[in-house]
Amino acid sequence: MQPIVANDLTIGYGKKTIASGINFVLEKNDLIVIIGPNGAGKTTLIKTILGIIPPLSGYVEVLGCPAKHVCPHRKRIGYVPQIGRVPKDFPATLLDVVLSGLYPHKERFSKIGKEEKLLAMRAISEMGLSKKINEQFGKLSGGQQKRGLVARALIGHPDALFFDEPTSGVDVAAASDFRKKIIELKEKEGIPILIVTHDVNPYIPYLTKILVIGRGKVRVGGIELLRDIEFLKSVYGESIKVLEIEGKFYLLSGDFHDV
Amino acid sequence: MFNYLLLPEYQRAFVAVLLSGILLPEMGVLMVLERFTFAGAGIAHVAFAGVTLFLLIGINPLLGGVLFALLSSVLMWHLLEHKGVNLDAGMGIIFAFFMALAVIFMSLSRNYSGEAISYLFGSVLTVSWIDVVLLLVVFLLVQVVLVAFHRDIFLLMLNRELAEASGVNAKGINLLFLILLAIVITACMKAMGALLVLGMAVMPAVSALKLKGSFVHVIVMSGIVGAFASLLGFITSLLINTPPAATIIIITFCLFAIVMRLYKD
Repeated sequence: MQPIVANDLTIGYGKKTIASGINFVLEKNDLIVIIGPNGAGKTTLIKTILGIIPPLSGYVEVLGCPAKHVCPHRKRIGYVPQIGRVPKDFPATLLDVVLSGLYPHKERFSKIGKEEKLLAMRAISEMGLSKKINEQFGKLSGGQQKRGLVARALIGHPDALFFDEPTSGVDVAAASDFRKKIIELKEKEGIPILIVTHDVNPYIPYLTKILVIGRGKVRVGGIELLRDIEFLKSVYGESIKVLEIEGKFYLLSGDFHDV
Repeated sequence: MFNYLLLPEYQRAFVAVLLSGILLPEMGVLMVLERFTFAGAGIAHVAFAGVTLFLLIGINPLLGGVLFALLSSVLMWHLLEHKGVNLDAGMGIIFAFFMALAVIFMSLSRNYSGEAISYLFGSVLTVSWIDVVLLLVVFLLVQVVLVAFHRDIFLLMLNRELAEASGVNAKGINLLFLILLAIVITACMKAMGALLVLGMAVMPAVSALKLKGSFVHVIVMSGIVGAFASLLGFITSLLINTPPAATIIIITFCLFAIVMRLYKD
């Protein structure tokens, strides 16, 4: 079964359409990178797939189940959102946050058992955070919090992983380390991955598809999409320029904000 | 001093102070983490307007308080979830309007303005057994809701999208929380006063957050800190003959200051 199938999907809020005609399939071993300008609908697309907001038309299936609020399969997707900085005194240790990844799978009044705690410790260890297990989550660095959230996503043995801007707010070294972890999850564990990002380059050797979204337009394809300057102009605006240097793509706008 | 506790009004006051001292900080933790602190202050003042109106028309004032408080909670929730209005700004508008109404109602009902003032500053020695039973029912309700929904609330406070992706009905939990807040504030208003309930909710909550621990641990700790502060404040007020609610708030502030001093980051 394909983890995600989007068919003629229209996304938006209320009556406002953000993008329509979205067709793509996230298959096993896929790594799909979603790019587009700010406000293009990247996060809206992820939220629609997760069932947080309903599609305006068309449909999206998650593990064979139409993604609506009640879709039970949604909990089988591990989601790592843009979380911002968690306040320092937020009352939770790293272990608490990782264990919360099991909440969707637990009955309301059931307790967290020892085995589940061991599972959490293993997920934390896989993310290289064993020494931080009992630290307040809010006191961890941005990169450590991100890795903690991946451990949280992994503890539920997800069938797919979604990342929304995984390296935003993280320093260069931590971002590189974090990207390696993401790629490892796809290469070694075979978990299909969907990433919303502004920086496609680190994923180029590993990605299977690119989804470009912006100004109501959506296209899915391979890396060649980034060579279609006319299409990119229709998404990012006329001022967009693309530089291809040694297999890497640099999208520059008129004011030279890289995307 | 212990002779006081043989008198029924002091026994009622003792129980009311203890229950309010646990309930308000428990809600306070959620208010602080959800950044709904000002909403709590607003609900208290709207409830006070309801009290003054019902005093004026001769109906049980607590009923007016709870109706107005619930109305403001639902209105705030609607502004927050459907209109995208910042809760603080929304409450600033509602707060001023209802406080103005309360002043007008009080001026119209000169015979009852003394009783109205007791709801503003608290009058724990005038609580009836019905008030105490009501507080006990609200106390039990809050404990059941916290046990049943603490995981949903935890996820919502960590990150709304994360919570929604985990199947949490964020809108529903926020509505439940605001309704509960309206009920708790109204139930505690006679003992602690509309102007002082916020202090009793927030100071023990922030103190408990400084003491650290898991989410459940912090909620339990806030109740313990609140219970200790409110009983100590009540006993102190009996010893030095000062208004109970105000004394409780001053003792709570002293405890808060000690915790802040001892648990610096």
